[in-house]
Amino acid sequence: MELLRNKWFYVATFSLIFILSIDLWTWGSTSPAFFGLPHVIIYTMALEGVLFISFILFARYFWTTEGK
Amino acid sequence: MDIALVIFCSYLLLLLAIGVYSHIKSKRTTEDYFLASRSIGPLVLFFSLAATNFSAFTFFGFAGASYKIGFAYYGIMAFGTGFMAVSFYFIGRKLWKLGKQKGYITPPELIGDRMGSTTLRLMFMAVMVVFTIPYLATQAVGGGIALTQLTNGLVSYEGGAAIITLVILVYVLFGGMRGDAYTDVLQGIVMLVTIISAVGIVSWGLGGFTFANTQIAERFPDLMTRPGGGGFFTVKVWISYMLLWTLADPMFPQLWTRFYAARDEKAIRTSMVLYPIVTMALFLGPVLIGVWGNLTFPGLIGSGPDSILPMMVAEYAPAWAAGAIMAGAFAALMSTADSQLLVLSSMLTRDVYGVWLRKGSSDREQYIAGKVFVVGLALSGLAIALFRVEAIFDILTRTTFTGLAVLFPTTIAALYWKRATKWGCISSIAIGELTYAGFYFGWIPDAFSFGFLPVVPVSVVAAGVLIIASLLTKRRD
Repeated sequence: MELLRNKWFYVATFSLIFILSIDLWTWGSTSPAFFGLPHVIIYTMALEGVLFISFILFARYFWTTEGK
Repeated sequence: MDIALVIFCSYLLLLLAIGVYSHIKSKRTTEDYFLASRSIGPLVLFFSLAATNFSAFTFFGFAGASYKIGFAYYGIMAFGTGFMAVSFYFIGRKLWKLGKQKGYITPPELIGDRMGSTTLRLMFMAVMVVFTIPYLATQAVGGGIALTQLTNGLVSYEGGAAIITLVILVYVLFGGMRGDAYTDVLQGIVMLVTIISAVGIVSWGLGGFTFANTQIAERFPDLMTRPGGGGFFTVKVWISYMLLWTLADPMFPQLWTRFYAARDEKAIRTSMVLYPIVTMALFLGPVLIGVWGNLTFPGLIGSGPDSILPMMVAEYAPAWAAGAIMAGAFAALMSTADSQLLVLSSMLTRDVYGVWLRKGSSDREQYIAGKVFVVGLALSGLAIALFRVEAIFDILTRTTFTGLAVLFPTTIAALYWKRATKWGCISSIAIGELTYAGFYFGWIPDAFSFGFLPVVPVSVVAAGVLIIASLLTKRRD
């Protein structure tokens, strides 16, 4: 729980999420994933989900206490 | 078509009614007119930030870009904009605190006061005004395109742009920030509902959601992947766009002042948490419909793709549904234009009229001047829209976003770096904008951007100049 109140945890988390948005490993993929949609759509939605959860943790544990 | 028009006109009347209601609740002070007396709560602030941020580009330019480039556009728009909400903490929270403590109403007030320079304040304002007015004009352009589509040409492009401008003008004139924020809630909900409905109706018309995507994969495989149509997305261009939204969006004066208008930190915090969800949902519709447009209307060129969304809706939706769906597009453009009108007016009132033209003018006088500026700005935006029509995408990415991103280093320095000086900030903005002009007009060879969009080298130059010039000049008190 202490980790969730540490600002460096969020610096690392948000930096990692940003780096993951540059998804070079699926760059040339043309095969559809779900419902005929390409990987880039599904991947982006999943990453947005992770970002949303990160924001919840950030708001719940860091922004209220302003960290330490 | 008559039913569509009735639905659309009812929507416009509802907006006007909200404007009048807001006027009744207003206090006739500049703080109330421009910031709703800093009383905007969590949900209203969230919808207001989202609706203000998502513009005519979301529905028209974005669908048009997706038509040309493909599904990958969703990645940079949805994630890039969602990630930008990180700035609600390190910029928005700080702006709210300082605004409340010092009574700031406009962005240049804060910058000028923090750095102790009226010149910097004027310069900061000039950049915001210069790069926001063309963006304001694009909202009128979008209105003209959409209303022409909705009425099958019965209303001309010029007439459509004028009608939309007039409606916005009336509810901003009477409702101020309160009217802006309340209409944003309605417009945000309308946007979400209509774009989801549009995806359902258009995909049904194309033979099903999965079938439409499969058809794209078979007939236009380059739209399924990156680099996408026209080889647009190199890795460096992708990275540039991811950075562009984070650097530019918080510098939009209409978003900045919403942080001032927040009731408390909770309102800003809630907005940040919800932002990735709304970007994930809202941006999917325009990209799908834009890409699918290749199946029904292949071969559009020039600014033609900017009309793909209304064309697809008109093709597949019954008349009554088309009217309702197009209300979503109007919601997107109007919710941005109204905020831009108000914030531009606030800057001309507080940073020009109150400082240079009528120093010491009363609050009542500035309140009236603000309304006069609203009228003048609305007519100016309309005039620009009528005399110069370009692809929305080109106008936005080539001028507004990068032009405003130049202000990012100065803003961060004013908020966090005590060693920053006014000369550092002035040099940063001047040289940053000159560098951008160099790239835009071709004075600086493209090779110097090293494959990135100009926003990357321009931001590096602006930040570097700020640091060096600040260290070389006298520290502020």
